[in-house]
Amino acid sequence: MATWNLSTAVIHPLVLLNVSEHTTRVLALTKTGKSSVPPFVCGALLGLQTENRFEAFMSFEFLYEGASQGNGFATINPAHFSQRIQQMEEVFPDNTFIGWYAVNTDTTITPEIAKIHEQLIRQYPSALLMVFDAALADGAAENSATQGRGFSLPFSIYETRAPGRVDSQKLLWYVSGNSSDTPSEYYVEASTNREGVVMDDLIWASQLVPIQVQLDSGEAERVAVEHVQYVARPTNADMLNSDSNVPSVSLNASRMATFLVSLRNALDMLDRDIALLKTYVGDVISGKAVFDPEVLQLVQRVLSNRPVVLDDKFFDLAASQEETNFQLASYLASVTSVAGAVRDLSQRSNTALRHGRTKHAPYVNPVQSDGMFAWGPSMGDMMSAFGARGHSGRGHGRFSHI
Amino acid sequence: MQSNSSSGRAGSALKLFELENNILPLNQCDEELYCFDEEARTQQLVEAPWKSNPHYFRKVEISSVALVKMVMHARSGDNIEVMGLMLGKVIGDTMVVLDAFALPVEGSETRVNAQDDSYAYMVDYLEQCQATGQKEPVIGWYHSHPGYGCWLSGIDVATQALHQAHEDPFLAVVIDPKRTMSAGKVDLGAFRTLPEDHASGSSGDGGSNNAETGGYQSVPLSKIEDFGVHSAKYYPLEVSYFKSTLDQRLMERLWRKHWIKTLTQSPLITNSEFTTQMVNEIAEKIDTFNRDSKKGVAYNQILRESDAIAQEITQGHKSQALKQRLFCDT
Repeated sequence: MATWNLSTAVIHPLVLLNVSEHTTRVLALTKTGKSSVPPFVCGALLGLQTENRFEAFMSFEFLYEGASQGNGFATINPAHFSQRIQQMEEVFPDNTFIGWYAVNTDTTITPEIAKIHEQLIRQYPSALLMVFDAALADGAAENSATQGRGFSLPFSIYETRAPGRVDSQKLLWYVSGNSSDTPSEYYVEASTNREGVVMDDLIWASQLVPIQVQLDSGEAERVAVEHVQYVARPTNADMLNSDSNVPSVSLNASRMATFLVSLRNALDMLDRDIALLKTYVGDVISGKAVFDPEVLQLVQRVLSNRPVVLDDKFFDLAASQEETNFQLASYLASVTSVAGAVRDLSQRSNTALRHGRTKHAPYVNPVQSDGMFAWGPSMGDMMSAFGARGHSGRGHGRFSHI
Repeated sequence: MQSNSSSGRAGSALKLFELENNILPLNQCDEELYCFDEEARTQQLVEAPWKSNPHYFRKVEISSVALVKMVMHARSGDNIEVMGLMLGKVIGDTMVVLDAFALPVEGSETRVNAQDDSYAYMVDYLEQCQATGQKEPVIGWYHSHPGYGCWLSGIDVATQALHQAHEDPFLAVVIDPKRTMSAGKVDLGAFRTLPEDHASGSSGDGGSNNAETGGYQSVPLSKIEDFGVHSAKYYPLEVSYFKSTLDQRLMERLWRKHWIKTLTQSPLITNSEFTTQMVNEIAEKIDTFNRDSKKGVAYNQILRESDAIAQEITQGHKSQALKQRLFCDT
């Protein structure tokens, strides 16, 4: 990217799922003719801004007012907007308005979107704009033609630059709608106050610049999102059919299986990415690919970091302690379960004996006599001891840096 | 890059038209689910088949967005119980949860109850949902039980019974954020209460088939009494989850960026506190059992708990071992 800038936007999956839900709902309503409003999907992004890092945790919908009123361009309802913000801040006090989203069939800005952005930056001069690409390329049908899009995230985020004086021609693309092409640079008018205009062809405007985007999730979010990924079924006919008794297989799969599958998938992705980098580096060496110093530098950095911990005795110690903890826990669990099984057996045989040849059989009451859990207190002590040790979580942190 | 036709405005109108018609993956079922049908709802309320049969509702379908919202909200409360409401509809004997939102209420221990000012919040919020086309009514409430499993306490039962009496169809969902984190799997239960005069013997058929937890709930010793007293007054519903076609494609795309998290996060470290607590809990239960086996602690329950915790630790260890083999072996 030609423009140099340092801002980063971090988007959480919840925001994307919310946008997806909003889009689906609006389209469903429009298709069945239950909505009078044209299908324009937009809403607010809420999150945190620390210096030039924006992090969006959640979103809500704008009340969109159709293009019929006023100057022919759509607006959002300001009363609804401010009330919603207040509500969200009451429940999630850390989050503030950081920008907004609009849905399109690619990630470019349309005149409609620019018009709304102009309305918003009067109140929030640094508002971000996320354009969500709802025409997601199908993952399965992906081929070389769509590969570029398939690998990128399905949205772009634009930052509003501090306003400056620019040629009014640059605003024509959305003000009059006369421009025949999508512009290479997006400018929106920063203020309606035209007193500052020195010459007629200069206008006070802000540029919209695409910024770097990252995807992040909290741990609870990751678990929930993975659940959506593997357990949730796509909508299908049996869901609406109340008679169907189709058992969903994934729900019954054991926890361990689910866990191992997600690990396997992650390794698969790692493998694919490494293979991709390897091919690229190979191609650069053989002169088939373009030499990109930035990419190669990153590869170099990763490689030099690779043997993170070798021959570190603290690391080994922590690892072996963890191993011991794990083995002890499994061992205790097996002991407990064997004890349980033995108790079960003794109870059953006692019952059988009581009803059978009662007089000659020895009878042990597992409850009244010291029974099968006689060693229980000492096992309890062992467990508490284990618990206390597990608590201190020594150098475990090292693993997470790998 | 797509170029706009002669007039910019007409051009984008055309784009939106495409968006509406063929580009978006929207199937018949998505339409049926996400489109609110006022008439169908009125019809259902008139018929109200759930009034004659207390076990009428059998299944719950939760949308991806509702699930993520609820789990994150529950987690954000940490040790404090949080609550919110769910929006959705009824299809046959299934309650479909389409969306959820948080309420500004924080409970403590086993008491969660919406206060008066939160009602005002709720009414405002719902009005605004209506305005943006989200016309589904409230179909239930959710709250969190951090660390003590998914079941309804006495107060929860009372709250739920009240709602079921006055605004049925109504559903109660309980999430345990701590167990969700520790197991790496969403721990969630959905319940409906049975009427007062309903024979308590029915707990046999419904009491043990909660699909999500494999039919058992491990309840801490301190709460076992509360659990035992009220467990016959409600029944669990079978919970499943769905995602729209668009969600499906989005998830496929996101996974390309997301997998790193599976490798970098370590459940052993993040859950060490919870694991310790669980192990202590099991030890305590064994003690109680030895002293007096009639006190409501069933030994097979202890077994299942110890199995579960051992399995969680095994999972954590497996992922660490895998990472070690991958990155640290020379």
